[in-house]
Amino acid sequence: MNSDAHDSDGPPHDSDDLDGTADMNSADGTDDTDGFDDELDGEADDLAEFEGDDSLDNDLLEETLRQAAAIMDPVPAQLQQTAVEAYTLYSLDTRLAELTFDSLVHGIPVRGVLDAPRMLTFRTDELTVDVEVTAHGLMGQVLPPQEARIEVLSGPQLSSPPTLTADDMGRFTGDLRVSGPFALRLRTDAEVVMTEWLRA
Amino acid sequence: MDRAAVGALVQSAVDGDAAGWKALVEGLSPLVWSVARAHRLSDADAHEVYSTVWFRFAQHLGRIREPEKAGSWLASTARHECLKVIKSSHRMTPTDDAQLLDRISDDRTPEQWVIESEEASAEAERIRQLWQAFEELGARCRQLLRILMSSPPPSYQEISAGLGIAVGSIGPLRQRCLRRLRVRLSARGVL
Repeated sequence: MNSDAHDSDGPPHDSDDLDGTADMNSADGTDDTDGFDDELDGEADDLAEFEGDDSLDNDLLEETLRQAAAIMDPVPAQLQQTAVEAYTLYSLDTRLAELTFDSLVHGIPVRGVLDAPRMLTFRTDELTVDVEVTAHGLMGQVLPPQEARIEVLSGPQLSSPPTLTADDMGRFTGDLRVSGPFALRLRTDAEVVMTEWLRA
Repeated sequence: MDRAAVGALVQSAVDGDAAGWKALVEGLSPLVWSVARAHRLSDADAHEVYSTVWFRFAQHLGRIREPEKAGSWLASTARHECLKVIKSSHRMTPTDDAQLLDRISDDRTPEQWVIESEEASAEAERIRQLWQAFEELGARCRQLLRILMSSPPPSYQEISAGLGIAVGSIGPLRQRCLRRLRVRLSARGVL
């Protein structure tokens, strides 16, 4: 676990096994069945003892790659603009409800069920919001039970977002299809609470 | 990006300076993008992960305890979102090489078209060859190098956070992967 990471997103090793990176820590640079490359250039390892000599070349090659990446795979300009505009999401008077459960990370897969609903739980010190995202819409529950207005946000500049209403039992439901980044802004009698941004 | 500089920019953004925020976005966007690309996400998924990460960062801005480590925070958050994308298996991106090569020839960015239409200059061709050689590397070398080549150069802490690998293993991996790339480039006659 890297101490730099301020994980707000569940246990540190939640999904490490998925992309095959879990065993990268143990890579010792000698095993050729480790997926680093195909067998075609296994002979490259014969050069291992000359490592000390090519550090300058490596720096140069890395810099050339950097130039290539800027041309071949840059951050799309419009996308970057969205991040610049996201500054409006910085708000000190809104309480943050942190994600404490995500079925995609902690859930047990149900056999034969391909499109299981995404179950999410967000918490502040005083409030819990359970949310279920399905192909048909969004439903959930505010605890302790109370009425609330719930805005469904999908980006930084949204003047009149779709709104749901939680009844006096705290239940809410809507046939609103959620995809991509989203967050819920809850207005209760006492405060404004915003859930952590997530990708549906 | 230099840690002290990142820390100062985070602080100015926290204090309400939109220019500080913009500079942060400009300085750390390539890192966030590279984490998504290193996980082989499609364009659409990479866009969503990138946006989600920045939206969440804005949300957490006033609560970040170690502002100078914001790069690692972003990289780590991006990685976790990438893993979630991969976990929702029906959206998994195919990674066989034939498909990747198709992508290079069929799905060129505007920048690539510019390069090719302006003139088939030796430099443009060299970059294309380099990129193709990079794309042909094994999955892990592609992953490491894609983050390593973001601009400005990421710290090893940021790379570690973005890939979930130990800081100490990055140096040896880097050597190994660059060596392999060089072999491929020599074979192509590019180096």
